[in-house]
Amino acid sequence: MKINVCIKQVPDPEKFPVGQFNAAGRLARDSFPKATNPLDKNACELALNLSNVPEDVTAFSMGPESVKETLREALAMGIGNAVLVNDPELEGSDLLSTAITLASAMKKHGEFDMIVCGAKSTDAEMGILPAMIADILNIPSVLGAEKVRVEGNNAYVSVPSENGTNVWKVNLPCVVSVTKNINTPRLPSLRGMNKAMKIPITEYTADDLDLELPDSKPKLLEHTPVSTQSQIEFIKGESADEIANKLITAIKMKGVLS
Amino acid sequence: MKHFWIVGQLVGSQVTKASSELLGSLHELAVDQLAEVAVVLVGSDLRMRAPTLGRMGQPMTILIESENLKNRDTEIVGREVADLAAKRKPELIITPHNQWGLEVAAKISARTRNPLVTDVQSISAKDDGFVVEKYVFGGQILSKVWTPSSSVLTVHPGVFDTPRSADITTTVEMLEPATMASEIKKALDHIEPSDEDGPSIADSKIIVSCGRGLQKKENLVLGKQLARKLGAALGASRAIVDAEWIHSSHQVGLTGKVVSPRLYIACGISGADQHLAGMRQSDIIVAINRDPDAPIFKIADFGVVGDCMEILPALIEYL
Repeated sequence: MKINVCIKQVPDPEKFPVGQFNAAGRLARDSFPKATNPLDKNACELALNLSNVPEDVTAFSMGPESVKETLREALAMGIGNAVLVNDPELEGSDLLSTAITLASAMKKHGEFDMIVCGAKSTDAEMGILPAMIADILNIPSVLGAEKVRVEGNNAYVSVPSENGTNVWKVNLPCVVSVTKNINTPRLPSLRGMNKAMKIPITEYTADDLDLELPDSKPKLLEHTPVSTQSQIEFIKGESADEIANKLITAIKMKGVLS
Repeated sequence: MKHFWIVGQLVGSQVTKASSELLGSLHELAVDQLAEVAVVLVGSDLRMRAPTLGRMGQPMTILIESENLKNRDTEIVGREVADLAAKRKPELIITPHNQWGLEVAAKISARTRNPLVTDVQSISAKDDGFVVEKYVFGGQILSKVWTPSSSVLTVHPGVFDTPRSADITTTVEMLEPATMASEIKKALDHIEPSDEDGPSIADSKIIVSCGRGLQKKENLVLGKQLARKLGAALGASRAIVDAEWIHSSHQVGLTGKVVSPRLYIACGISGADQHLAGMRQSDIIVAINRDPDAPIFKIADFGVVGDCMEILPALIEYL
């Protein structure tokens, strides 16, 4: 089974101070220690479990030279191939352009049965890139999977919902995004790390992919820090009972609770 | 004439509040831009309900109806709306900013190749396009973003009021779906019932949310009891979801669900940025925490500096 995994390099969530921008008003990504988006490791783990043939699994990412470190982590986990779309022209791509670029890179690289992604990234939390890639490729997607089982030409994908767990049946090829509940990612072995250093990373530029990107994309105009002025009223009392009484009364005064 | 579309989410026979309030987000802009606002609904059995669905005050209602659309999965909704949009080219397509709306918007954006901006708080027209405002980094920063004249947006819940049902006569257009049953590559196979009980945090008016301050999983029963007394849904911080005290469907925050209830009671939640971003639009916020410097107090309306293990039993007793 041929599987593609999307990998994103993110500012290390452990060391990432919020709200740091460069002169262009973009996140000053370069100045932070880098890490693999944590859920992408769960995606790698799922791909390796479903495929059993490391050579059939390919990690895809987009970004500058430094992203190779992140791809090497995926290779060290046992993934057989890696593709990096590296082109300064693509810097600052919005969601749609990123999705079009990754979809084009996958088409160029060859056939596949499934694309696996982390359900969310720690630096931009929307988690909808997988759905966009799917619709660009005109294949189905299931987001937020906790379990994936493949049977013949179908995948059965479990997603928690309000009423329980929805089990979706999708035809292959498909896109699946995974939550951390799906598995525990393996740690790279020393042998894996050595092997990873020897695997060549395929690189594409925008020209290699015949990209058709939209002429016009969203532009950041300005950032304004928000002052959070506290309007809080602290409820105090001699006992917990007195506080409870005062608090409920105060809430009722606001017209909530009858 | 310009055309603004709202893609409405249906739950049972109802258009959700998060969808109908989107009419409020477009009202001024539509008047200013002389645009026609249409609500687009995709599903089965819509014909019968057309008269009521039209009563939200929109001039135009587009219904795409078929038995094949029964489970109304985002897969089909996104596809159908994108297909129609490719023909009619509306300037704006907006959806509610929740998991459903995000998926639908992502699909429409991908299929129409019109860019997507998520979680917007306001929309105005500027320079052959639109300027939207959105909070980023847990609400610490307000971003202004320009987006081209054909765009897809998800709108933050609870920012706009649902317009009162006006006496506007809505034109209802019924369409056949463009997707053939054989093209649908995704179907709900079955639902495994969950053992969790209580209402969903997605549309509950009151949420009692619990965090690490409850000290251990067993104490979560206090939050559950308070929620039951208040008819509230039980929410959770990421910390206790990560610690496996409770299922992730309860998680409030950017990495869980974005909520805006009438009343949000945060018990033992210190208030990480991503949590605050997911609940700061709540009408009334009550915070109970031992640490007087906890960030949650910065956005709360009422605060109690104290131990949840003492305050929660007193509240349960009092109610």
